[in-house]
Amino acid sequence: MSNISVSSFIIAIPEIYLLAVAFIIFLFGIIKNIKDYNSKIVFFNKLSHISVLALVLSLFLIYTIGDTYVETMHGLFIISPIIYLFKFVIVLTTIFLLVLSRRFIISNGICDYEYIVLTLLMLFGNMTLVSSNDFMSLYVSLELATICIYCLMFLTKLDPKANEAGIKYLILGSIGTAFLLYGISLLYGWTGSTNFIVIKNYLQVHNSNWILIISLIMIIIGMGFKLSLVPFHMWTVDVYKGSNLAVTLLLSTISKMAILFALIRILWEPFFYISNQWQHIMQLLIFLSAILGFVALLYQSNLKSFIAYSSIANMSYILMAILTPNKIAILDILIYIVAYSLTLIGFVGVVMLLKKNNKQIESIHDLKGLYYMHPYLSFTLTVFLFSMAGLPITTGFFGKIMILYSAIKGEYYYMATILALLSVVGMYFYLKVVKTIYFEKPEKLEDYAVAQKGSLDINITLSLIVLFVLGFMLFINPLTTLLDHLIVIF
Amino acid sequence: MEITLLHYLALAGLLFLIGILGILLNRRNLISLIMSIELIALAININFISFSNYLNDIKGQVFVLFVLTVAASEIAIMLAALVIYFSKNKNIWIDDNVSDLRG
Repeated sequence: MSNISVSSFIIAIPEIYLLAVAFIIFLFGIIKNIKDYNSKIVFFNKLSHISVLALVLSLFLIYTIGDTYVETMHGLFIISPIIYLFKFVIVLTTIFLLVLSRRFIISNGICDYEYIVLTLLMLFGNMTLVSSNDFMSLYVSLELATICIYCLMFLTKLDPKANEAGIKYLILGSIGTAFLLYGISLLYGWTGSTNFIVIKNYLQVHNSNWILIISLIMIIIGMGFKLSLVPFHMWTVDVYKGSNLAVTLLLSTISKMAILFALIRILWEPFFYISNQWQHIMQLLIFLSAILGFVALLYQSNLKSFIAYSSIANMSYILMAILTPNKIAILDILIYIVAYSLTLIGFVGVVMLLKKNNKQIESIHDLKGLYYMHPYLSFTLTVFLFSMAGLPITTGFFGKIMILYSAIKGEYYYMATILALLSVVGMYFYLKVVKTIYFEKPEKLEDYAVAQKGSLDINITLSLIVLFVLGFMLFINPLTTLLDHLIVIF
Repeated sequence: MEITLLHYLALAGLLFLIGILGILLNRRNLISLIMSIELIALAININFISFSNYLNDIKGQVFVLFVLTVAASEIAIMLAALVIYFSKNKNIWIDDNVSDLRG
């Protein structure tokens, strides 16, 4: 067994750097200790800009560390090409999210420095979650990310709804963790290790037995709670509705992305040789999530429950590609999840700018007649909605078609057919929103939604996302070849 | 009678079951929900320690330390939430305070 030296930490420099930034901002906030509301806003603005710059620098650090396969800290922490890509994507998403939600946070009066510190710490947890190679580091980083989200929910603690949503998430989140941990403990008892690769090698030579199957089921239940797959989704709508829109967005994009990747790694690395068993369980979960997600989407008018059901429905799509463990499927997943997260962030980012009667928009009906007031913003919203619906030339279309293609290659014909049909059902909802924006008018003049003037960084971010959504098809060939080159080892 | 691994596992499984049922069936009192969560953490720890002893491997005991720490921080947040909840509603019974967050 090798000793831990300084060189084994070099690979974790992006994470260590992020942790340092979070602590420095935390210290700043404590030392300044601002009570006055206006100077608090100025301070929050400054910190937000600093953190975005710091995140851009961390993208550069991730790039310099590179994507060669390295395993350090006694196999707790690894980096490989696909992990490198996922980290890149997660940090990029966080940058977009921080920029777009800054204005919203200020206008909702929760402009504490803790918001930024907790977001950065959550990002740290998610990055270590992505590159963990052992159930121990997986558990600790998963909990770090989740605990930061609990705290973020309680930032608006004076709102009774937010308080109740936070408590609900805490209790159901700990049930999920309990199942995950019980599964891990049984797996540890059966294989004698918690390392992914050791477990994989053990399962290659030994037959599966009932203890292993129970632990597999428990781990899938635990991850299912975190990903809100269907039998375990009951917390999602309540929690999303109760919490702040920025936190909802964080929950449904960054945290989901990292946990999804952790699930992929669990199923593909330690459980690789018993894929027959988990494929059946996952098929059931995907089927249920797809049906509930897309059908319930039809009846939504509240914005946050729309985000909740849309994330359930899209998760079922992504999970269809993980049934076939190979490197092509991971590319499809990557493209789909980037397309989905960026589109959702763009959509909610535009909605965050809108106000009606000086109140934040809560329902889809509040978007009535937006076209007559803000043609450009409605065009952006339409692009995002088309991408979510999966209409051609947008990124969402390519994401969906690649997932379906990989499912057909894996010979899951029924599943691919059902999900393709269900996405048509979902399309009805997305196009209904477009119709609300363009062809419906509110009765009174003051019922029109009005946009705040966007600042430069918000405009740049929104146009970047629109460019990505519309211009993706131009780069699809060079991008996939590039990705194919990158992913030699997984 | 000698106490074997199976006895420890049965105890842990029983505690886990009691904890899960306590959360699923009770759903009213926040304090007992917290107690149930602690009970589950205890069950997992017993599992890890007994496996660690059986396999003669230190890793399980290290895992227990992590589980203890994380559970403690989770409970700290939960108690803080409980205090806020109590100061808002003057009780800790979830069902009594009607809210529109239902399914």
